[in-house]
Amino acid sequence: MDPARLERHSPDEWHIPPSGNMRVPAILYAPEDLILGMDDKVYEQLVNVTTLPGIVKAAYAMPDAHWGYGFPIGGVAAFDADAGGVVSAGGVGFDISCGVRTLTTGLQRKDIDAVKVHLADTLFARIPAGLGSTGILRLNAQEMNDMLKGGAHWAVNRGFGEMVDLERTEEHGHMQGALPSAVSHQAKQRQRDEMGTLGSGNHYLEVQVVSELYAADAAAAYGLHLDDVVFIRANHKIQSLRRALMYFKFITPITILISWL
Amino acid sequence: MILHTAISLHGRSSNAPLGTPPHAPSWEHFAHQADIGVRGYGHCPAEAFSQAALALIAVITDPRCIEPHETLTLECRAPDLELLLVDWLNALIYEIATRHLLFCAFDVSIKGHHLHATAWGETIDPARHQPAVEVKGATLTELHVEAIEEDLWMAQCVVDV
Repeated sequence: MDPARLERHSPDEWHIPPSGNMRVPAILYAPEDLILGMDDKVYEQLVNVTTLPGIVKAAYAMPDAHWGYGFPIGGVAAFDADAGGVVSAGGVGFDISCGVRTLTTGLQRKDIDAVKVHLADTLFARIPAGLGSTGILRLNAQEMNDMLKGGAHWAVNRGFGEMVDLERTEEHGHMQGALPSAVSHQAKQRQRDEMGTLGSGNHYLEVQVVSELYAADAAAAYGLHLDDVVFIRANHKIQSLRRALMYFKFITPITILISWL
Repeated sequence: MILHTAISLHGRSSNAPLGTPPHAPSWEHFAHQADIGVRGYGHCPAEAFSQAALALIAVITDPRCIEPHETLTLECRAPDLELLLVDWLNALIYEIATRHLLFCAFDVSIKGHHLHATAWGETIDPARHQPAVEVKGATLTELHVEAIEEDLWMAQCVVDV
């Protein structure tokens, strides 16, 4: 993005003043080198966001802003419901239900150094992942609805996790007011085979070591110590259902791993 | 026009070497920061749709390593040609996800905004097909279906991977 298209208000704050259909200005927070690296689509999408009904004050872009769907990824906006404000699926994000989960293992680096190749091979062999993979869970229509309504509680009740896991899960693993009947048959069909798998695409299970602590108190609160081995599950999600489930947020596949560990 | 900024990530099909101007039938990918764009060229919308479908498959694996063992027929209807492309690609994505199929050839016919297609392919074999990613959905981003020259149609959109 060409910084000359923006009004610079401070070293890291840039404005696009309202013009045309824009209801409010757009504001970007980033140093000049990041602005230069941003796609022109961020400018276009941010300006589009400023035209949405009910937008409050400005459409914002964070330093990591990049080309998304409708909204730029890294875009922020508030909408006033009393002023005709909208709920934008692009703003909520199509990666809803994605997340990152860290599993502490009770192991230290020295415990796995000698077996790490075998460990990686075993994880790869035991955890279904990738296109076409299937898990051990096969849900019928009723069970699928129960899973959607119960969220991670459903998984714990089925023995795929423990109550303590729910304490560290957003909304305690269960959004109130879930309406499985609002989810299409096709979306449920797509989810069926992916139950109990890592998913495919940009989803990873990583085995990591805590190599440096920046805030010891915060780390301790999360049960993390230097040299601890942790499993990190990145971008896990109820993948196929996510477009339909803009208001569900819970974890299923991860609970399979918890029980396995 | 987007054509001039297009870059080929996986290459066009074998009848369109890199650097040659767009011609029908052929397909290519175009860059998107987070995802990937699929684009088909054809003498008519149906052929461009068929080539866009090949570009979709090529995001997952090399279409040339897929055998035509199974046949599937698909029907789509939409209010206009562009939304028909999204519906068509999403119908294929659904079949890939739920039947675990990959496709190597398509016979597409379009009458008005009604598409009828036959697709040939086989069950996914992870060892042989080495699927790179799962395509989760076709999107409205960079969605264009248009005649860019006489006798040359282009059909494209970004797919979410």
